[in-house]
Amino acid sequence: MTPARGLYLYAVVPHDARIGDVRGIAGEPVELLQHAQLGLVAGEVAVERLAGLNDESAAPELLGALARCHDDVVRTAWAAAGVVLPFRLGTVLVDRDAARRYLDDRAEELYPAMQQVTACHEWGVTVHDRATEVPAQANPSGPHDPGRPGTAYLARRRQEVARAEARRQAMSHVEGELRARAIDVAAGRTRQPDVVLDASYLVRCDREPAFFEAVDRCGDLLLEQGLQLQLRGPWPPYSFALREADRD
Amino acid sequence: MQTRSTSGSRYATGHRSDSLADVLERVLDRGVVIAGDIVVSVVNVELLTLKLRLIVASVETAKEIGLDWWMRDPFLNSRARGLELEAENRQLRERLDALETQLEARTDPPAGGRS
Repeated sequence: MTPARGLYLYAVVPHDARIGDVRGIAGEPVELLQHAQLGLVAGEVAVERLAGLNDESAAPELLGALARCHDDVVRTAWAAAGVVLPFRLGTVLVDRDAARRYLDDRAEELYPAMQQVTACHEWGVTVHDRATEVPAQANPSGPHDPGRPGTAYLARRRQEVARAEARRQAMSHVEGELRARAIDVAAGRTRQPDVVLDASYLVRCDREPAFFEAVDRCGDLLLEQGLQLQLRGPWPPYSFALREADRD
Repeated sequence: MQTRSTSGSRYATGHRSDSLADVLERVLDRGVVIAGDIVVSVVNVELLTLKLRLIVASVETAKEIGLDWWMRDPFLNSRARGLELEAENRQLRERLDALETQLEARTDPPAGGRS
């Protein structure tokens, strides 16, 4: 039922892009399949190469190596074409006919999607709570009267509530500042308890100086609240491109 | 960390020093999270359904590549939750002890110096 070979997809680019000599996840030559005024960056791979991931005993390095390689091809196509709609890891079509039908089928949404990410970078922003790294009880900074533990407890609670409110306001300010300088925002999926914000911002290249300036200002503001901001990127617009797996 | 990098922000973590975990987080689709099967499918095209029993076949594997957030997630990890509850419990017991001591001081006038 599963064919032996398939067409592994890396990205959609403009049809007139020049990709050059690139090798893909299986060492295969990466090709540009042109159809419907679009270009599909793809490579023919033995499907068992990917099916190996299904195996419990698969080497952990395999997934890491595939992910790195996928990202490298996407970035190469990005650099060559100037704009890219990246696929996520593991998107495979049966053959080139299927690829042409895919492009016919999706052209209407691929054109505007490409327009949106043109001349843009994706930037990842995370904010960590540095205080949670320290045991909570190690810092009884509030009034401490051993004779009146109830009062001390209430005072400490009041302090905590005030601090949480100050942080909430700072975070809301930061999110507004960053969103105002981006074309779009996508929520990340980090669920670590110390992560206060995990988001990806689609930023136009010519607005990057303003975005960085806002990031620096926000980072300084958050430090005062014991929060550490980190900026990662630039990424190809993974969080704003093709979301095939969500479709059904 | 806070040195001016090519990105133009003092808070940048470096250009291509992106960790493998960063790459995976972006390259793997949303919802793929641990131990789920991803079904990659494209509507209206006969396609290959790849069941990448990803990520990460086992917890050990995931830890090796740095994706171990669920270890500390109270909703996913009963041990983490246990530790949290334990700490809260201890705090409550301490408060109770303190209140009882105070109460004894009130109901026992000769011993009470305050109030």
